[in-house]
Amino acid sequence: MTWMTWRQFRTQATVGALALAAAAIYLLVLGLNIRGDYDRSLAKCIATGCAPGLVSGFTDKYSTVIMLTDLALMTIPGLLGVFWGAPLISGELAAGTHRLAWHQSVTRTRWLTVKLLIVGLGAVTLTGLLDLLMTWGASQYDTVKAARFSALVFGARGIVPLSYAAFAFALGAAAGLLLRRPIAAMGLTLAVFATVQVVVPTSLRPHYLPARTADIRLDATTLSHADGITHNGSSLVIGGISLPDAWVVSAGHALDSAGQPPSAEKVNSCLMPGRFDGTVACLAGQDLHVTATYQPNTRYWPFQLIETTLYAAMTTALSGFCFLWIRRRTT
Amino acid sequence: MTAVIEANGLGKRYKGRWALAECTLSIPAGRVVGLVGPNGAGKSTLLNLACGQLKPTTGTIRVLGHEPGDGPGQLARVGFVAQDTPVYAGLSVADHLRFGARMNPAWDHEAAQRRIERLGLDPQQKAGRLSGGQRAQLALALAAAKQPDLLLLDEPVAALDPLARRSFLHGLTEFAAEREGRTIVLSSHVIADLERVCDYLLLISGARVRLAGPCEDLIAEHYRIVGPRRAASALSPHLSVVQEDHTDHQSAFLVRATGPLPEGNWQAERPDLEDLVLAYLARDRQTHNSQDREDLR
Repeated sequence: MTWMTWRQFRTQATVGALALAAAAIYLLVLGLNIRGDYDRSLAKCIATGCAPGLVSGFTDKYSTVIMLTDLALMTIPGLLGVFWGAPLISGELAAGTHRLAWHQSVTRTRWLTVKLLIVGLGAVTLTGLLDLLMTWGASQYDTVKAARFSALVFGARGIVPLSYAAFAFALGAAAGLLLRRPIAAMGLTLAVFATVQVVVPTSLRPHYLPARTADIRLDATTLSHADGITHNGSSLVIGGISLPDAWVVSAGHALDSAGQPPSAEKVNSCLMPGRFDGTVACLAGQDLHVTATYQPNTRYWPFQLIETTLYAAMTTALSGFCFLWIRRRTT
Repeated sequence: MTAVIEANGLGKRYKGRWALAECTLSIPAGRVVGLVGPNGAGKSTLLNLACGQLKPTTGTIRVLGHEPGDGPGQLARVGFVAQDTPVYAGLSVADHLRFGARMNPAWDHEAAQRRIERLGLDPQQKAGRLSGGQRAQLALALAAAKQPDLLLLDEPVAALDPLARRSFLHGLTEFAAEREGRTIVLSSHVIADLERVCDYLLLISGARVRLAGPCEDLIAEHYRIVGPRRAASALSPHLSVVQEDHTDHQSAFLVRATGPLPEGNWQAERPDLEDLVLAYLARDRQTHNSQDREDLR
């Protein structure tokens, strides 16, 4: 059975290995560049404090390429689910070869176990290798940037990508078993995986552990890092509030020292369209604050573990479904 | 003699339609069984139930004393060549033999290789490029080298030309002769395909078993009698009429006799297997038609 699984998987494995080699070379070069740059410019001063331009120059130089690479890495589990998982069983069902395979001296359960294990482990390994290279290459950038919780970075580092790959693969296999047609199974896999990858970071991840609450003073530093300042008459909203070493999950609107929204006149007097610095300086003098909920950075690994467990549980459920379905329902 | 396939009240329903109903039968070991019936009669369903590909809706079926498809031991003892003889299009003939060798503990590699050589199949040829006859032969070689006690074949010769058909059936009889006690069940909607090889007949029509038994017994029990015109009721009560035909002066019957044929003013002759099958199928169609008419009323 092992031989047969490998024989059938050979072509896909070769394509995967070639893609892996190309991606690995790219990640290696990128990682060496980032690390070399860091060693030349930031390594000497980072402990004592570098000139501000030096740090932002380093992060700005790599932010786009790292974002795009993270995005590409996030799609890999999905691709593996679509191209390795979905055709795994549906290919046999569509060609009718399951009627040959299931009448050798090997039970359907064993047939499925070997297929899922070999190809599934291949998918997890491939994802893991790329993830490891990326984590290595971008580690110093990640430390400087201190945004490990941002949706893209979180999903492309650490241990969660492994669980994404396992989940996407099991999803593909289950879809193939259910729909019996490779193309339909690929479509369903893609749709469900994409939905899960949007729903989990936005709706579930912020609530893995109860968020903490803090009042953030709107001083000049906080305001100058904001994405935008908008005032709609009754409330002043500051976009993109950040806390050092924390993931701000949500932030309320600005309040004054008495806990009331600042009056419209006071705010309006400060808003200077086109002069962001002036607005910031004026608002900073008004002693405003926002109440924000956040997840501290110390929870990074607990969150990685929780999310990995969640995906592992979904993988187990899907595999269990495959075993039940292949024994009871498939003909 | 022990039964290889034993079914009791076996039935299978698909979406409200019974593909096989109230099937009770017992097939002895060491036979080559011809499973005959029109298209859609339930032959495939019966074979798929016997190999464990399908699970019954009602009743039970036991194959070689066990539930079909129950564990690797049972799978090893039953060979199955599915309809349209599926093979892996992307794999070569040699790969298929390797596949069989690794999937079956009792694999007889020499026999498989010999079979492939004699057929003149190129081991490096991709199975997807084989002709229908070659593909069927490859499927048979795989199922035979597994050395099962029971070999089930679902319409294996339907897509083959007469020459390939003959060569395939020859391969099948060889397999049966290799070892004592092997049982083969092969289905076809054309009795002529099976007449040469089978010694046991199983006739299925309208989802039910209509006739089952060793061919020689069935032939011995049936007579075609021709004599002056008379009603079927005028015949001896020991004779049950399968088919009747009347002209102005003459009546012809195909009858089944429980004992020796009683004397009468008629000429009697033995029908052949094809006559028998056709007579039973024709009777079946009449019953269906009269039922249909009643439904209309």
